[in-house]
Amino acid sequence: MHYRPLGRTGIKVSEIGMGCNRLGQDHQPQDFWIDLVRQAADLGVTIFDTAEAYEWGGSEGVLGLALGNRDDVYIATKMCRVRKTNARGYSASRMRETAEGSLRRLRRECIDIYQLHSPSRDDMEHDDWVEGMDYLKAQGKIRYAAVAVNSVADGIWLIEQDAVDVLQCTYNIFNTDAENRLFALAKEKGIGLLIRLPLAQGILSGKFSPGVKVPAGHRAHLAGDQMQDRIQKASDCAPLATFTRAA
Amino acid sequence: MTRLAHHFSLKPQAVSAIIPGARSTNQLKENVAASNRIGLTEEMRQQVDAVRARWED
Repeated sequence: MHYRPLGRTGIKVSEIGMGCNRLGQDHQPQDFWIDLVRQAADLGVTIFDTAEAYEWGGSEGVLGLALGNRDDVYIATKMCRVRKTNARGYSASRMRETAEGSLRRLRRECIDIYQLHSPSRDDMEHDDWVEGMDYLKAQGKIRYAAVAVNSVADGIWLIEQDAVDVLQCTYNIFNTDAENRLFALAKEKGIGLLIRLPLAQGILSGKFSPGVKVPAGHRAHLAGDQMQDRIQKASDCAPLATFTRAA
Repeated sequence: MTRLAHHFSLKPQAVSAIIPGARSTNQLKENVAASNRIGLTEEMRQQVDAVRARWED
């Protein structure tokens, strides 16, 4: 495993992290997920990305049981977007509560990277979340402030406001918007970048064939109307994959 | 294919980490196997771009 600097933070993270949105799903016993997380850590993964929304805290709970307060791994979690309660808002007062909930489930003394979960620009402009991040940092509850953004434009705006240490954005073969200014600006300002959806909901793994039904409930359906088009595009890329060098 | 996709997303220097999901040991190991010193060569990136250019039409 290779490790890269997380922007200007001074820490390095494994270049392959673990997206934890599946953890805690009830088609597997809890021990299965705990074991999967520990295997990842054993393989050198040091950055785990979760959210209070994933399995309504269940994903954080698995990470807490699997890793607890280990200081050789970094946990990035996100606040808001919990569908069950429909609780919304990125206010400082809410953040104090949500951070406590995440810390309890994660069984940690400090959240390494605390992210707003896909806020709209309007939310970011009107809620006092920056104060919330500063307060939580001062209290030692979080180390770095971050936003999982909906668009490259939002990411650029946040860097220009000097409002975050880390950003999470989409970047894959289908979506290269981030190459337009965001990467250069993040590098210049020392903002760490976590990349979500490298496989575009699994479609870029190449496991689906054009015209063949995708099982109901698979994440690929999140691509909506674009799903079949993207499966075709992934198959266009497949011949190139045979030339990819092994480790 | 997973490796090609991961190498693509890891290529920019500004990227700290990619965070693919995993729901099995196999998927996890496939993800981790994408970490190597070589990554995506310029030549491979150009080949991917040639395919992507066809989608623009």
